[in-house]
Amino acid sequence: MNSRKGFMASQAEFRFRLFVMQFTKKPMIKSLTLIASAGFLLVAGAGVWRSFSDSRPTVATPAHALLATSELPLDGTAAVSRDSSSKQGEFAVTIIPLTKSPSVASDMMDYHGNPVYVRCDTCHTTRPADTTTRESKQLDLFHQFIKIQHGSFACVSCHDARNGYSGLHLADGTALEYTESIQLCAQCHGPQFRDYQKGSHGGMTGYWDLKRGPRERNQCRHCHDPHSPKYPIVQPVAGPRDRFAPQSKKDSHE
Amino acid sequence: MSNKPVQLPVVNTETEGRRGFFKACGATLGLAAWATSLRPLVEWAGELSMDELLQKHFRELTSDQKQTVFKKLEEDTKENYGADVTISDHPALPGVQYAYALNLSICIGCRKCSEACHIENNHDRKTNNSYIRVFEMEKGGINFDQGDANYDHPVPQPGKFYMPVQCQQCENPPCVKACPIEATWQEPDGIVVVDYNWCIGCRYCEAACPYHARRFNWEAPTIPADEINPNQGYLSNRIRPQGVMEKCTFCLHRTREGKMPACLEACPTGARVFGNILDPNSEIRWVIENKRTFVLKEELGTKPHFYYFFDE
Repeated sequence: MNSRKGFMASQAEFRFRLFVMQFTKKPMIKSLTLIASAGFLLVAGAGVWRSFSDSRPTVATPAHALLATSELPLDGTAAVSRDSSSKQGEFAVTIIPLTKSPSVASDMMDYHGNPVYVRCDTCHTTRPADTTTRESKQLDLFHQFIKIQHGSFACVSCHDARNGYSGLHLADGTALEYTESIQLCAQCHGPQFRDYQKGSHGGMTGYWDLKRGPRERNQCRHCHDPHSPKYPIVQPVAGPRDRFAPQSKKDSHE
Repeated sequence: MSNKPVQLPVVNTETEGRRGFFKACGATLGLAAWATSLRPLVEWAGELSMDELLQKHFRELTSDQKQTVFKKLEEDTKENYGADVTISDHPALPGVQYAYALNLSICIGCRKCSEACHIENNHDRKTNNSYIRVFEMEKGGINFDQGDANYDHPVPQPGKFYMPVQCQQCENPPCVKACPIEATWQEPDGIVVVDYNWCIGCRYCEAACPYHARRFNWEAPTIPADEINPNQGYLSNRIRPQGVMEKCTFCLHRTREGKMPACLEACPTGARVFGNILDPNSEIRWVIENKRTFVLKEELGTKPHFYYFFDE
């Protein structure tokens, strides 16, 4: 009996069969149990059987018939038409903006003890640009931490030396804010940019149905470091512990 | 010599002969059997109301009856888990067929989807259960024999790709056919659901599923009250009782309100694409029309609504 504790009332008809079966396995009281069960069914079963014979679907109801009779949400939102040729009345897809332009730590602390960061053009407006620099180890100050693993570009391939490195430039020389870097990436990574535009690349949250709510999307730099764009290697979170799954193959070899 | 028959001293009354004795024994045994036979009913009564015992099939319940059932379940959750939850019905949206696509070129195997599913769907904390199993696979083919779902090392590893597998929401679902009591069925929007109140836990559907997508509740889930997701659907993420089957429902309590499934929102790389396949401008439609998609175990004819694809 205890093994059934916690089961919900799922199917009374099945319960009654189980109920009868468990006693018929014991020959000693088999006949008496049958009599008792018959009595039990007469008393309690009649109403139940009637109820279930009414309620059991006799034939499989076609899905579309159920759809026609199923209720709509109380707020009536399901009644909104899915005319997707029109963008009228749709919520916006927002690309999460990049808020901060790049800056470097100056080794100084402010009044509250927080490190002071300085903008690139603090130094670069007065220093002439070296257009041949390709790696951070060629530089003396500030840039040592930058790991560069992205093709074989010079710094000025992307950074705009014309206005003190305070922005970027496209291949044709068009100046670009740091916050617009997505266009810069798109110059070379066309297929990824296309997939991104079509919604099959890059994380997002919100609504699949823009008629019901907005959506927010990442942009390239949220996941890819421009200097070393390969997605970082991470430790996975723990998976489900399957009851019957074999242990990790790696473990079994050790 | 007297003709008077010799009587035993113990049973010496006129009314109780051998026949009377056996009658009494029989009656006693009958009463005992009767009491034993009633015991299950008494045990049910401890945890079941008559309304629950007589609950009709979910698809035949009226709105009022559903509300009664939901209210009872909310009270049960409060009593058993100490959490205030809202259980509601989320009917299928008209004109919607859900489909899911997963980009295997992008997936890095971080299991964030699995974790999000665990939290969203009120899974058992002890077993860390989830509807999503992520396989680490050898590049060069799709061979689950060589796949490992229990990897625990930094990902992605060279020479491997990662394949999350969950319910494929088949158009031709073998699990639904296997169910002897119609406790699981396919909804008009393609999602296969389980009525946990109707399921008897025979696990035929688990055996029938070629994707191992169904799970059985061996025990009642243990979840701390403050971790319970209070936004619950009757057919989706409400806390399942012991002894019933459960499965991925594409988070229907979210997706039927227009939201993305929890696993998609958790994916850091954007490997997952979800939407209405009947909408020609949807992202999922673009993927199916422009990428080389495939389905798992196509030869079985299950026609999954879950597609996989590679970028190159």
